[in-house]
Amino acid sequence: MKKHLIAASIFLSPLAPAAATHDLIMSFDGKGTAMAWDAGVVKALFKRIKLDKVKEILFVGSSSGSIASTYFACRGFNKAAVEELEIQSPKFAKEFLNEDSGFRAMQLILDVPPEISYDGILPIIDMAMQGGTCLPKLPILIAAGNLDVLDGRNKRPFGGRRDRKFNRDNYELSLNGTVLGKACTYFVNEPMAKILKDVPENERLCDLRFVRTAAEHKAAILASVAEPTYFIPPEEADLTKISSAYPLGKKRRYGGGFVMNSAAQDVKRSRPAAFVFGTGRASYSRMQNRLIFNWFNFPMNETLLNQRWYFDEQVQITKSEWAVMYEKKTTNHDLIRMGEAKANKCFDAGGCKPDLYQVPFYANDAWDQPLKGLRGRGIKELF
Amino acid sequence: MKKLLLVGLAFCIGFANADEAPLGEGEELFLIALNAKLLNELVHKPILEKAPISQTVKRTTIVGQSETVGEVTAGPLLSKEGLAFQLILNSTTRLPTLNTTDGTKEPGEKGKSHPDIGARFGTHITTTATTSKGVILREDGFALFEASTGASSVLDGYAMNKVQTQGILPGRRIENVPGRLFMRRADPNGPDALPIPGNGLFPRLKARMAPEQVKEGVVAEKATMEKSATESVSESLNKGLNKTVFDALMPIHQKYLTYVFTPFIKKEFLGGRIGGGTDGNWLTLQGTRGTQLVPITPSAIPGLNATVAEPVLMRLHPEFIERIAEMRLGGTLLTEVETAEMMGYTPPDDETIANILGDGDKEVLFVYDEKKPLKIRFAEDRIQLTLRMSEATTLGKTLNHVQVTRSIAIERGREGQLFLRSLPPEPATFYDGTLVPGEVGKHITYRFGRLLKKEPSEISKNTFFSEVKAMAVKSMSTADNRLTVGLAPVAPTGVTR
Repeated sequence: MKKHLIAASIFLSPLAPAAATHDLIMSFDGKGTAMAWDAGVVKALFKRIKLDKVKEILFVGSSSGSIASTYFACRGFNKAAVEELEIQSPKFAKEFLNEDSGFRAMQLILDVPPEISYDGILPIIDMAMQGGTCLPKLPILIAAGNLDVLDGRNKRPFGGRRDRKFNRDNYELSLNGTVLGKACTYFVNEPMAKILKDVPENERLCDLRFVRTAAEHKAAILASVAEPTYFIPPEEADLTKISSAYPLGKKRRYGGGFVMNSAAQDVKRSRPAAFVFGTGRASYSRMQNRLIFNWFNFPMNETLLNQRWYFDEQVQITKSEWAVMYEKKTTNHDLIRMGEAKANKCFDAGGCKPDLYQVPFYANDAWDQPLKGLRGRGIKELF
Repeated sequence: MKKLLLVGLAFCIGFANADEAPLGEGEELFLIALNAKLLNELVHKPILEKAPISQTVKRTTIVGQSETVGEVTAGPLLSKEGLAFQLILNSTTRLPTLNTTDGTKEPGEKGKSHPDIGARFGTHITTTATTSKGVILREDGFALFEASTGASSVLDGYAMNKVQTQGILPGRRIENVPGRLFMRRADPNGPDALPIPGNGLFPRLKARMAPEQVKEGVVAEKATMEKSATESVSESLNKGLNKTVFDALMPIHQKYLTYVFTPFIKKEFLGGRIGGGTDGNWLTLQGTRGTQLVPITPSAIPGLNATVAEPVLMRLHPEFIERIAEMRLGGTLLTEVETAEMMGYTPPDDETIANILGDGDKEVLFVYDEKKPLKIRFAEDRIQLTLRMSEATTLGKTLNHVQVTRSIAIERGREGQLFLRSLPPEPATFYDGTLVPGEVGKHITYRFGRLLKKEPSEISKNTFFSEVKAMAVKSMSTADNRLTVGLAPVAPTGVTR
């Protein structure tokens, strides 16, 4: 912990460790090519937050949120970083990926592989990682689905196996009562690995993958952005760096952060008193939800509702806003403005406390410290 | 195209009572026809291009910038083996040049033309050309013919700028600019020096006579210069058109291979072949049932004649969509809400558990039948769709071999508008036509009906192909169990009758 405090004191500005009493878990939730939204949200947050009240910031990211979380875990959550992100975000490429679900459905029907190479997104990752060289010093967790466990697709574009069961309590997939493995992996750097040590392996929702180099961190981001039908799933380069409650197969393939879109829960269980703030994530469309269920036996929306429970505050995004975010005419400038305006609206209204959620299995079990009163609090206390 | 395919698929949720006889070898699955006049309208484009030129004709160096003005048009290229057309570039190239004669005698050269003088003069050559290039879309993609040009040139302008001869003193030259003689120092390798031999007799006399000599030389070489210009411009036009067409069509070719040839032909989704044909009026692509690729004469295709009012015609037989649905959707698990969303139904904006997770056991969770999951029939201004479920679960009960039929009516407004009106579904039945009894039957019918729009949607307001030219649906018919859609450009073009 002492080490963490030192790290935090380096990165947090202004420094006032004596008054700092709260940990903050910042969850950068997946948003595909609309990730510039997050730059607007953090801009609004930075204007209000009193950093001298924050003891340590723990970053979690999923899918494109893994890039934004990396950005801050490399630089710290400070004025320069927030301003620089606002400058960099408009440069993010958007056109390399067509996120129109009708277009993707047509590709699937015509048996045209929709997955593309990473060429379009690599420059953005390199920017976040300071030229691809940064191994974040601040605690960071990046989530990715385990395709080797989940994948049950058949020759039909929207079909898959129906004989497997997913357990929402512990994120395990099983066949005829035999557990096939965990549905996801947490990529964690050293500080985050120490934090997650508190969660028993059998209760932790995902496998752990230890990240010790910048190259491994980049691989973690690629694993998290490789959503089904988006990018070619990457393979794990070193199985020995994975800690799992179950034996691993010969290969591990990652399939994006859809399994854990708001990946705060195990971190929250480790730091029950920490405030959890999320940049926002709309629920999936029914069709997307079904498609993923048919392919992977994984209920995205149900688990998303569980994940929301852990938040103190999460910027809410309606489905119509979500649709506008992905319109071709919506620029990155627009997204920044939209994110900032929505976050300000949340803060002005006294906080966007998650009011639509489902209580997860481990909700009130943080080692004799019930979480019930430590969620849904808003983050006004940090302002 | 994507939008149309989606509309096509959307039409496909469904139906079937009529067990029509399947199509035979060579019978039409789909047809796409484009009026030749519209083709020209889509392609027609003015051209204005400038290009540098630098070449040597005999001993004369020609440098300048050509300016080509013209227009590209397109016309049909008669073919039974593919959708073929010809691009035609009519152009005029104006070539104003600055010419420099090289006074050095070539080895073995005889005669007295102007070996001891250097001259700089300007000419204008105008080349009138017609360049054509054939393009054919066959089943396996685009094939391009090499461009060819017919051209003629005329030298229609001449002006002398400067003449130099070598003076008797080293480094001194006699210059005639024009009509006035004077001596000047000139570095033989400097920019002002024209290429001439190092010495010579009677330089002033030569300089005085030179302009006339050069002019005579130009006249003598006029035909050669014109021929050279014709060849040069033709080559340039051919290269330019070849490259432009290749660059423009390559992405379309790649998309055709990806989205048409590979799935429909290579992976055999179509269960047939795609042929093409072009005559003086229509350019067509036709999908036909069977394994044989049949030559196509558009004028012989039923319904494709001079009475067709719209410049674009798309015709679809139910078997085309039914087959794709069977190959791609059969055995898939969905609910009726998810199916509606797949077909473009927009869910409510407000977040509720029901919107996020569904209505629990009130929804109809079903499995598309492996065999003919969708049946379609086009008749009497209606698109009838039957969704066939090998398994349907709702209200805690599971039934097998259930089908729901609904129709979409085509309605016409007073001012020619076209509307599609969703009609309530017919009562759910088993495959043998008997009603699904009790509350479950009513509930399935209700659930499939509740997501339908009450108001008719005006399809003639929608536009397609906006990237090239916005087109709207102008006509729709269901004759002969085929859905025929006529499209026309949104703006008046003179082609639409």
